[in-house]
Amino acid sequence: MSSYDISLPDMEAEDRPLSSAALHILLALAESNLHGYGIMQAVKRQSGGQYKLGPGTLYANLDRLLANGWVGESERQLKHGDTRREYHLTANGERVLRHEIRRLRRVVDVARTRLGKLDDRDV
Amino acid sequence: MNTRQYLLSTYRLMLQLYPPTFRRRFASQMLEVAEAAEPAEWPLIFGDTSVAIVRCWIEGSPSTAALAEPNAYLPVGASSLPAFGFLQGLILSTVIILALLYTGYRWPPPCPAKRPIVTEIVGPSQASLPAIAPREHVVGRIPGQ
Repeated sequence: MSSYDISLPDMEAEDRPLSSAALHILLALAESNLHGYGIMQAVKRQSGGQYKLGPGTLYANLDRLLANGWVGESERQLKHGDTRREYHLTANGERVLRHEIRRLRRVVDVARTRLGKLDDRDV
Repeated sequence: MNTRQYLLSTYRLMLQLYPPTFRRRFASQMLEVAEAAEPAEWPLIFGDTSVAIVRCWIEGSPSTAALAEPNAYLPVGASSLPAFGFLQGLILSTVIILALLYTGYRWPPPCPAKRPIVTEIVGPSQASLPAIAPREHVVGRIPGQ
């Protein structure tokens, strides 16, 4: 395979830290398939009301997540004949989410160590 | 029209400001979100969407880029744009250029004709001057009268 093959997955995008919005959307979709408003509600719930996602931010992020192949979309038939577009986490998206959680855990570990030292000094 | 319908109509108009490809893909879903929203969420919806519209135009969006790509580098002859469209563009751009040239020719407007400038010479005040006796006028006779 040529090193110039542009069909290779974009490793830079996957290695890059996720934005807060993207992280919360992926976390919400890790629980269940959701439509737009459902994602907004799930994000509000999982952050304890600290993070409120507006529709502009939500769909701008979904657009990028769909383009990266981390989120998929499907039509769901409702009772009265209407359809609703739902979003789901893809296998690639789950891998990116796990990678991000590991990265955040390392950050938290470093923070714990350093803030622990600070606490000792204060005492 | 109640407040909710008014807000929804305003939001529908606001969504028209998105780039066309993004709007075609997500506007109907965004409107559904707005319809499902509670009154307390409206400030967030309007504020967030207005910022997102600007960001979408400045940064672009993957869906816009993906849809624009197939026609982006086509030679003129291979474009799906009809010849009439080119003609319209040509006429419109010519009119704009001529209008700009005419405006440039006429602007700035010519200066008005020169007029004498009247100035007032301000001298020292009367109080600061030494008193001068009024000159007597000698009335003489004009010869022959």
